[in-house]
Amino acid sequence: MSPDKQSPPLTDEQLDAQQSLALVQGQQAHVRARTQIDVGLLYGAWGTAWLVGLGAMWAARSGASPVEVPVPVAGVLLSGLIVGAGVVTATHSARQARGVRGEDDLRGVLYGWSWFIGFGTLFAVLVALGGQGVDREVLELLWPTMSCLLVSVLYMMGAAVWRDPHMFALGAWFAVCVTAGVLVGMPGMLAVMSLAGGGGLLAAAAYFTVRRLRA
Amino acid sequence: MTASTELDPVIHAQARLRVMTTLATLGPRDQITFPRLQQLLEMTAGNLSTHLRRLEDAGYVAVDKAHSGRTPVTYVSITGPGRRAFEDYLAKLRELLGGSTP
Repeated sequence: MSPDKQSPPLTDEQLDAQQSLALVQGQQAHVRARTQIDVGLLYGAWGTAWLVGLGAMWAARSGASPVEVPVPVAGVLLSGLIVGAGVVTATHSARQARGVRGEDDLRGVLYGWSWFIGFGTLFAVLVALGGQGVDREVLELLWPTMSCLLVSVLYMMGAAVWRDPHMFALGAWFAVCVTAGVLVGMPGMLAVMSLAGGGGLLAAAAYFTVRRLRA
Repeated sequence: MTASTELDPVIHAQARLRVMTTLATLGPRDQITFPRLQQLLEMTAGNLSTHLRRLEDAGYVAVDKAHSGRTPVTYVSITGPGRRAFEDYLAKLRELLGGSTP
């Protein structure tokens, strides 16, 4: 074993340094995978709910749809996918954070409650409006519009809390989707939200998943 | 030369290096329960306790005994000096490896 000039043989100390660095990097990856939120997973779950759920709702309402979907089926699919994405978000966040407490905990709790209270109130308002004889057509436009607007604002506020420009961009993109959807009107707005809104979320999911796998 | 590249003996041991890496990888002021830390490290409780005591004696980690209801919970976190020592340790490792960045 004669060492060549380019790479002198490693001394014990250098070899040890290399092993140590590998140990650090391996453990960092292990801890990150088990404690950090996989935003790619969460955006993927919500993007699927929007794309498939709202897509099914559009298919049920639009005469232009190539497949016939009964309205109740689309409704069950949409709500099921939204509940599913909510469950994925809650269980994944709780699993990654278990046993860890920090200064950011209160932010997460209050942000979670903002979603809960925001959508609870929106639901109450729209049901009440329906009970007060507001036009069915207006209500049908209000449901997706107001929901998407609330999501948009909550994303932008979440971005402010966690200093996350990507999240802000998504929130702002949803605002564009709402505006475009209202201009198109029903049932086209459902297609706009499914493709542009859900598509935006899935694009974000792909971006973050690729970034995580490369890191 | 040797003095400037000497690795901190408190950190430079496989088990303690993994403990320090784990604590430093969490959020800036995060604390972790003893059982979850043990799980992330796949170490026995006795082994982890021994190494934590050594790190605590050096002032690199803080062990905080709290209560969750009536159950005692032990929270472990890295201290400011601990984080600096860990960063210095990593810088020296890279120096030893000829300045190559990971």
